[in-house]
Amino acid sequence: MLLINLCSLYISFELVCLWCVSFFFRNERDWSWKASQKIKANSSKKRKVSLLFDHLEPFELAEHLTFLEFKSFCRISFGDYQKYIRSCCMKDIPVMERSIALCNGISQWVQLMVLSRPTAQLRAEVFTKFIHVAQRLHLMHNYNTLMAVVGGLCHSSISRLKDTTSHVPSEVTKVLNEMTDLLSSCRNFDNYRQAYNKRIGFKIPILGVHLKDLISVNEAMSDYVEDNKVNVQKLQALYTHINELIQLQEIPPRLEANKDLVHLLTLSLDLYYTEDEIYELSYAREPKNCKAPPATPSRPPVCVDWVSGVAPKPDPRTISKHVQRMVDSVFKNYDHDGKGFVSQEDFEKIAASFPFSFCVMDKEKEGLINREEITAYFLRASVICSKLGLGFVHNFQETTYMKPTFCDNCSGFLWGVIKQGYRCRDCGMNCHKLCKDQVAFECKKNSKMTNSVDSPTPSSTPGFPGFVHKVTRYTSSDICILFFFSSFFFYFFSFLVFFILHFISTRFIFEKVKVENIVFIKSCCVYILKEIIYQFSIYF
Amino acid sequence: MGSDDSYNFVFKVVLIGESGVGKSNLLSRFTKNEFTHDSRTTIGVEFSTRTVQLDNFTIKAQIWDTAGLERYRAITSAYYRGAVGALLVYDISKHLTYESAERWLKELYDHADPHIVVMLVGNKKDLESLRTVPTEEAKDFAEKNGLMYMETSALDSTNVEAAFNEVLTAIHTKVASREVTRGSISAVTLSSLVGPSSEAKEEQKGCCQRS
Repeated sequence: MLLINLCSLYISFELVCLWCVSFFFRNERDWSWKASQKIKANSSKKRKVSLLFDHLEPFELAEHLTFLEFKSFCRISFGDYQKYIRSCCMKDIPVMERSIALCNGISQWVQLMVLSRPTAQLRAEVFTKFIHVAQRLHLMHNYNTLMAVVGGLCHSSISRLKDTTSHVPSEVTKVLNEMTDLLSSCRNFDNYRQAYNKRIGFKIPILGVHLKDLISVNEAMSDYVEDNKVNVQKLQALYTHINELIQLQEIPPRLEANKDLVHLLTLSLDLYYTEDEIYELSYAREPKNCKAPPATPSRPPVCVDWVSGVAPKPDPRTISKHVQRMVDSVFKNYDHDGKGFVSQEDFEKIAASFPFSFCVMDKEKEGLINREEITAYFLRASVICSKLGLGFVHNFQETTYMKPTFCDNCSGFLWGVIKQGYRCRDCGMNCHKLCKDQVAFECKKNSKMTNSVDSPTPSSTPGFPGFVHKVTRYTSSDICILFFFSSFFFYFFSFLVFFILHFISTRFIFEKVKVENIVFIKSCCVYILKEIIYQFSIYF
Repeated sequence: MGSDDSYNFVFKVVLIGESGVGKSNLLSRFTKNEFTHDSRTTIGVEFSTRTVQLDNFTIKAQIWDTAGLERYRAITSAYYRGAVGALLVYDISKHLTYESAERWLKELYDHADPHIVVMLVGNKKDLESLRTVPTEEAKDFAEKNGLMYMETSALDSTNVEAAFNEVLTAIHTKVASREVTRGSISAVTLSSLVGPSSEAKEEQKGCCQRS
């Protein structure tokens, strides 16, 4: 009886110990896991946009873009224009800078949306959609956004895509030609100016053109005429120009904007890709001198392409920076008093504007939500969401793990003695039976891990590449701490057991087996020591 | 035809470089005589042109100034279209503006004709005491990239005429030697206007109607 008790006791100790060990390792793995999550969150961020984008009608997009554009246009005051003419520089005029950033953001967004599609056919569809958006913008007389969209579509990263162009219907190409004619810089934007002047009522001018006019007038006309008289003509000319722009702010567009959509667009337009990165992606989509191979992979590897195409060597620092920037943009918009918190209400608004609104925040908190929580939420949500975009085909097989293993999907422990979970034969991902069908990560067949120090424990299917994640090498100090803690627990519990047994044996009925007991306990201690050494040897 | 106003070639030349390096000043220096001061009529009409005489040819230089437009990515592709010459301007007293020259160059080659004639221009030569970009350094850079090089001052007009004229001459030489052939973007401008007889047509057509 006692023996059985003791055995169970020791087994439970060992369990505790295993837990301790795995706890530390899990933390380590969590860390690397997070890093890789960031990679995916970063890439899936793009898809998150496209996901919703598919459901949006061109007129909706046009209306919301116009809403944003008008808002930003209205912020520019008379004084800002004056300042711009004087300094010829954006440094001290944040509202103007933001307006330009919005314009550039839209062009980049257009390019990225087209380039994010894996096949020429799909890219042509997005291209066509944007042409329809452009038509709508033209009807609304929002010339600034029209310029941004058409400029994006005409950008060399898009116009060089021959395969895509071949899939675009001819009438769409015709419309694009009409648009480029309208916006042509030829004869100093003559076509645009005519259309612009004809229109009475709501219109958003191509701000760049008018800023250029202001600069040109300022440069061409001298400040003073003969006899040191102030050149009134010049002042008059500048005033007329600026005033015209200011007057336009009085006429709001007739549209109803969906707040959530506006939030989504605002975040989507907060792009941070450089021209080079977009260009690289363009090359990845349709390489320069290869016409023969069809640019249609069997499985659309958007995620993988994003990582390799945009940033060939994604290092965790830049990636976390990118995610951080995304969160920053949330705070930029919603942290009204700058205390680093976003209200629950605002947060729900943000969350609702993304397609992953079904994802519930882990911590049910009242009131304010801080930066870390939002970052975690976005990472998790976009990761889960991203699975909707593409087929995440893993090659899962039931597996018996010889060592404690955690689910890579939900981070939970894989319980059981045999057949604890499933392991992907291609990428080495481990997960629960239930999680198998909801894995939020793409199977990365191609990128095999090389230095798999923290790869999942050797399982019944050795020889398969380890899990494709950022790998952290354990330093010797980590091992020491780990060893120290695990042995500390062992000794502590051994001592406790010894003490209890001693107490029991002296007080109760086991006087006779006392010596036996002590011998048994000793052997147990030796066993525990061996166990420690074993554990140590595995992980070192 | 045959009158003083007629011309044999229209060359589109673009001014690029960081904002604040004095592109607009350079332009206004060069085209002052042809710039109508009444802004209401100027704007909307092609402006910033100047006709120069090279050898026996009359060349109409159509100079495009970004004047702040360089910040708008969407406009750049339209802006470079059909350009046969470019002046890449930096400020000799601001090293940062020089450092970005490489980026500008890349962008230019991305969007414009590969045969484009480019001149690296160090502006604000009058600020010699504040110089941070050594002439030699810029010259080396220009040589390595096959660019022409000159230092100018829009303030006191030093080398402004010379810079533009040199670029126009280089373009003209290229066209004359048929280096730029029909079919490339700029060729429409360049080769369709060999005889003065087609000038009227060319005037209507412009150089940038489409590519």
